[in-house]
Amino acid sequence: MKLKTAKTLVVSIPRLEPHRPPVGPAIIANCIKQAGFPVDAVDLNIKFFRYLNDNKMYYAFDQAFDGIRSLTLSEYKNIIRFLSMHYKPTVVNVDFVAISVFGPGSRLFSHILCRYTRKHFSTVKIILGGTGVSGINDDKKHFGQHMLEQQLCDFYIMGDGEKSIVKLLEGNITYPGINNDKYEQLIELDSLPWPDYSFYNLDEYDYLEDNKEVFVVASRGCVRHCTYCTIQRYWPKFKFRSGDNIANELISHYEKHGIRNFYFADSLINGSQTAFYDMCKILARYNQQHDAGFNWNAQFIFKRKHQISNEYFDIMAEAGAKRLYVGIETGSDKIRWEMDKKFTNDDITYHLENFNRTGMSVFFLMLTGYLTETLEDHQETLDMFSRWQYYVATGTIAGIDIGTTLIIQQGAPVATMINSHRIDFLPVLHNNEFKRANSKIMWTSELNPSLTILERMRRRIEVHNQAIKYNWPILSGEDQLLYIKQILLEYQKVNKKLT
Amino acid sequence: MVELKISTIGYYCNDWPVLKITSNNVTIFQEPIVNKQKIIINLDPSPNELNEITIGMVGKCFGKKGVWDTKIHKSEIVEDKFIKIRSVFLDDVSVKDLLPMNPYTVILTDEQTVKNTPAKIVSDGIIGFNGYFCIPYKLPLYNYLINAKFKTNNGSVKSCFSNHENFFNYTPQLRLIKEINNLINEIKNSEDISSKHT
Repeated sequence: MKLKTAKTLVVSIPRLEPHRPPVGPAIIANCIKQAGFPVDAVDLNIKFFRYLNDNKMYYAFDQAFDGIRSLTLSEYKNIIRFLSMHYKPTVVNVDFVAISVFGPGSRLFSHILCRYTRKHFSTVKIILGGTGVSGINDDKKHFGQHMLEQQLCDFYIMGDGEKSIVKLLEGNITYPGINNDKYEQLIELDSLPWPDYSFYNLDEYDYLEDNKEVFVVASRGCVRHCTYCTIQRYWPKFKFRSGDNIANELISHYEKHGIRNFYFADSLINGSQTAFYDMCKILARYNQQHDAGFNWNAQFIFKRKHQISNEYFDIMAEAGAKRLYVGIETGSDKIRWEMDKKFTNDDITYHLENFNRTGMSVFFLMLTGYLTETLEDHQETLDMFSRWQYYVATGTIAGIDIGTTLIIQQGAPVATMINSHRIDFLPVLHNNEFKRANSKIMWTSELNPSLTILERMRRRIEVHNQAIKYNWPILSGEDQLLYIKQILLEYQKVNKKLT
Repeated sequence: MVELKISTIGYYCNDWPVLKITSNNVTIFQEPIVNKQKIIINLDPSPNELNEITIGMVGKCFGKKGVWDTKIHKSEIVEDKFIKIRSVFLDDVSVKDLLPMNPYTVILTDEQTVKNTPAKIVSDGIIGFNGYFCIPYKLPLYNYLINAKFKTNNGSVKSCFSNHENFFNYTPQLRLIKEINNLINEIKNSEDISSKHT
């Protein structure tokens, strides 16, 4: 095979949101194109969404993709039927199929797709990439390694894929991150190609509002080191694009496709205060001059109130900031500080007031049942629902994701506290035998003995009840309660077996 | 106490328009609005019943003794007596967006007839006829306003990630909460029993 003429098909798969075209594959496809290789891209996620033509049926797959239940035989057959109709015809004169494994929820589908590709296109080389490739299983092996060992892929790429994919196509298969976890984080982001959404049919997506919306990636990593978060496992350093580079990308999508709605896929949009402010200034000016009507949503971090002025909020609003997703996690200043979030309830009120004034809204992301949480801390979380209800009534607080309680994940700083906090994990039952270390949500700490698994779930439910009492809009409330119930049933089963 | 705050502009024709505000059928304000005017009134709502505020105009003439408070020249309105509601707040929460949800009730006056005047007008704050907007509310106020302003019909499955439609669909959540609380109690009881045995 002459690599320089090798054609690649970049494939996006479920589980992804169907509301916007996939950004990572749109960047990767453009990198390949810019390097002079023939390339095409297909979004099997949106095709699957349209193929099923039934939202309930589409979302019912989530539980199987998330490993909560097994795929039924009829669901499996349906996927195979779908692949023969919508994937098979796209693999024409293709030498490489590059599959984007977005996260753990994409692994099942990627497994099926790889098997299907092997069966029907035996000469096609399969490349896996995306954060789902690097998740560590119980046996300390990455998903990519598993797939390689099972000969279900030929290459897996870990870490940022922009350079690696091109090196791979050029024949350099020993480049850092290809079939190993020694990848190097990309430092200079301004020189990377922007996502090219021309590969996708933008009319196919299930946009949340009337206008088309696309993702933008402005940075990688995070400036904070929140103790429960695993982001640093993927991106140890916080790297960001310059403000004018980001703003110019938005303007380019607007001028090319008429897109004015954007969703920043970053862990946080304001990690670099300077780049963020520069971006806002350029977008605000463009908005004013061209009446572009930009609207964008992003994850955001609250700062100490003395660090930001009122003008900061004004320029954000003028630039088109609409909804910001913020991990406030808890109502307790003490716990939030121990999580390394570095802002207080007073700072939250300051932000809410300014968001209210400038017409922006915020979405709270929560994490209850932290390692050191006491009943007093829990009470402070309950208190926040009445304290900030006014901002729900004004529409400034647009929603809350209460989360599922603390999960001790490998790669998160909290995992390094297992010894110091004398954390023990409840064994789980697998084929009627106990298996340890898989129950990352079912932990206890000897330093906080009153926070038993049962007590943690009780508090989680109490928080949910409080949110309902004060009429807060709850994201995925039913799904999360089902998950809590499932955890409790598992706990009950193990407990019975132990006693 | 609930604070009602209204910002209005009166437009002159023969005279300034008169704004009338009632709370639970009691008139609490009835005065001419001269240019821009802000009105702040403390309401004393019933804690358990549905309360009602009306905001409207009285006294506009539609031909009474030959007086018209709308002047027309060559088929164009050149002067009109009307009131513009710029903002309405209840305890600092804007309820102006609720005005179009409850159409303005027109009280026919003088030579107005059902044939030439609509009985209800969907308006976002312009008051050109005698009549009133009605704003109902209950206590706790914020709970009521959140429902009135943001709660949409349930049933649509837009997305499990960003399902705005189901944000306030508490019924299945409350059912699950009950089930989970029962489960927690059941596990607790069995733990208590087994700890007594050991």
